[in-house]
Amino acid sequence: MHHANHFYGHAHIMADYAGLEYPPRIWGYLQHGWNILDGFAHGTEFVDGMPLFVWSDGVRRRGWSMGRRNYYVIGSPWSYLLKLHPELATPAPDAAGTIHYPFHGWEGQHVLGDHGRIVRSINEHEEGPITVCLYWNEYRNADIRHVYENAGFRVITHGYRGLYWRKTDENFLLKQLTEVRRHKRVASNRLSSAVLYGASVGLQPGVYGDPMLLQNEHPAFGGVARIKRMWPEMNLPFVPMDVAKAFTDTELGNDYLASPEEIRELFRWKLN
Amino acid sequence: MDSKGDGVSAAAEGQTEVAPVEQPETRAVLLGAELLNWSDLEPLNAEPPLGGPAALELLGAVLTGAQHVLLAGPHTLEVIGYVAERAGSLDVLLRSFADAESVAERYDARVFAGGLDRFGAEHGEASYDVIVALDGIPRLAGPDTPELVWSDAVAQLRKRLAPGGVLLLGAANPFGLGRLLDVPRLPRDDEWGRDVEAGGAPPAGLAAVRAALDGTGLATVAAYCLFPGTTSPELALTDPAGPGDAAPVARAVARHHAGGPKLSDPYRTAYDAVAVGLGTALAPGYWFVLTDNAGRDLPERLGTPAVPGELVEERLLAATRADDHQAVRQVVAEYVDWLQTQDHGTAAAAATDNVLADGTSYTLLAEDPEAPGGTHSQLAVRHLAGFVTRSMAAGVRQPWSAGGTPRALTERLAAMARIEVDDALWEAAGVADAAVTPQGHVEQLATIERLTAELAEARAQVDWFEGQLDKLRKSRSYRVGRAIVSPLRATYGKLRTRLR
Repeated sequence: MHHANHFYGHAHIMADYAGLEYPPRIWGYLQHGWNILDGFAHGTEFVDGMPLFVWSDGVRRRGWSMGRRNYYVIGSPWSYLLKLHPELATPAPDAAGTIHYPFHGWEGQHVLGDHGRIVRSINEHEEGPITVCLYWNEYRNADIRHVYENAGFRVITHGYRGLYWRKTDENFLLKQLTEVRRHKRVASNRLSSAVLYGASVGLQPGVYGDPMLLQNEHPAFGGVARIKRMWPEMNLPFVPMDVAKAFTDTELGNDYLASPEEIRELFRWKLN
Repeated sequence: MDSKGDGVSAAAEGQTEVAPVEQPETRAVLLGAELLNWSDLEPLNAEPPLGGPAALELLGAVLTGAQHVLLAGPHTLEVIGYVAERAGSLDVLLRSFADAESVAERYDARVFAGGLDRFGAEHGEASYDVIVALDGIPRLAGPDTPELVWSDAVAQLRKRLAPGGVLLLGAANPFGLGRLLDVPRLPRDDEWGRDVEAGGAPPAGLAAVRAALDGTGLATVAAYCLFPGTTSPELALTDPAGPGDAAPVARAVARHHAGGPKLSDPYRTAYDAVAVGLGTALAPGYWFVLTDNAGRDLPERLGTPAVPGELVEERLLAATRADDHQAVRQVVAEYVDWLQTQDHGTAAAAATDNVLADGTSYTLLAEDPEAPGGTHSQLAVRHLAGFVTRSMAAGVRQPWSAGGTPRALTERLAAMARIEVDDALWEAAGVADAAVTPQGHVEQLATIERLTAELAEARAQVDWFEGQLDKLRKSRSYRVGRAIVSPLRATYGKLRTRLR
């Protein structure tokens, strides 16, 4: 239906959960990242009446107020991934340190900011080994990578999220989960999907430092200021674990997960 | 039929004394102004007589030890027989001559035929321990009584009440549920034009009726709200309120209004009215128990026991109306989980509008003697489809596009309970795969609006898919593929022709 359904291997995770080997087209639009508005990127062109599959009820409510209909709250693919991998239900035995996700842009929108300042803020707040996870396009940029490597950090990427159904790293989120399990803290300069994912499995989250600007960020989303106004309790260097748990349960829609049968019915998928 | 019973037989000119009225040989005592060629007990184009289980229950509570009883107005033979069995002596006052004769023949009772205005002190007992006028005042007289003032009629009955006696009086509500449900119709034969001031109708509104009754010097020890109608109420409740009362009231009202055109969905209208506390105001009619003996203890509910909890149907409707996906899923999953563990009879009767949920404990509201067969999954699908059909027929907001038939929404709900509905299961569940008929005119308008929106969506989808096809055909990969495949296909075709 829409190529964003396949970002980060989301469609593959859902297919796996629903008992299919390979994801057929999803009948509708699947939210592809934590979202503070209607669940979808600004400018997404919707076909009337097609279902909108979103992570959380807040997204549905906001979207409805914007004139969107046919929402269906099913929780995040990340939450389904956790169900698929019980072997990663606990931290790795040698879990230590912090995994940090500098806020990323994508191919069409680059972040503007000083990575050096992020390094300084990490050093201010973290102890122990640091892993910095860059998004694909930033990882390929040697200048950016070196900023972090020179600081003594381990620098990784989880892969390519895909574009127009091509080159999607099907194991993107599984790699992320595996990495997350090797750490005790998750941090970023912006409250974002990666922080939610880490916090959802018990890593203590931290949000601090230069939030960076997303190039041409649409004002409808309200930017970092709106996120900070709405969830001040999550925009702290050390977020209490119970606060983080409640927040991630809500935003990842953990109470909304559907059964494999329901996913097949919703996505119009048939078992082979 | 002898017409002399009208009491106005001609007196010869010049006679100083009126000749005594010659009474025909009848079983009933003819009072005058009796209604001929007419039966309230077996009406052709008029309201049926008052009856039903709630009436019997009330009479059972009131008639204990009653010596003299007067039954005034058209009541069913069942009611008359019930009273006759319990009364020391029974007098019956009926406006229809034919009814009076029939009752007099059937029961050990003194029957008076004619208008209440003719029922004088010389008729019947001087006073009665119980006067039953549950049908109300208007049918205590026929067209030959041009004026029947409600308060005068009530005063007349009250005058015949023995000290400590009980008067059971019915009164219709001019603005009951019927005003919200019934399509206006042509007047029936029993709706002849009446005096605007003296047509026998009670004062308008419950408060006015109560005030008028206060003037009789009797205390109203109970006032029952009647459902689904005034002539055969199944339920009589002193204070219909909340979901526990809304469910049985709505079911009774839905049955009562099952046939013919309606303004709006009877079930939904009745349920919502009672649930928000409008049950008393919108009851189709009332029964008042009046006495000067305040010590009487009467039941608060007739025709239905108090039931705890809320219908599964209502929980589901509340969740779908609110677009609360989590609640929809939870209610469906818990209900179907429960259903799967029940014996067949219970599961078969456990339609969502027949199961009360109290937390996660469920009870059947009523047994279903015509419970269908099938596996538990088939029954679950059948019940969910029933819910979907009713909610669509009621024009209830749905969280998702419903389409023309209930199947799509049923499949979705069933999937929440981990049941996948394929053609075989759908067929085995025995659900009619037909378009839903909206309950009333209101729901028709809502359905037109919904289907118009869904049609526009479907058109937009067709256009979009058409555009995608176009894009594909123009794409490089399609054209390259075709450039390769077309010659191969042509070669294969030629080869096949030659090889033949």
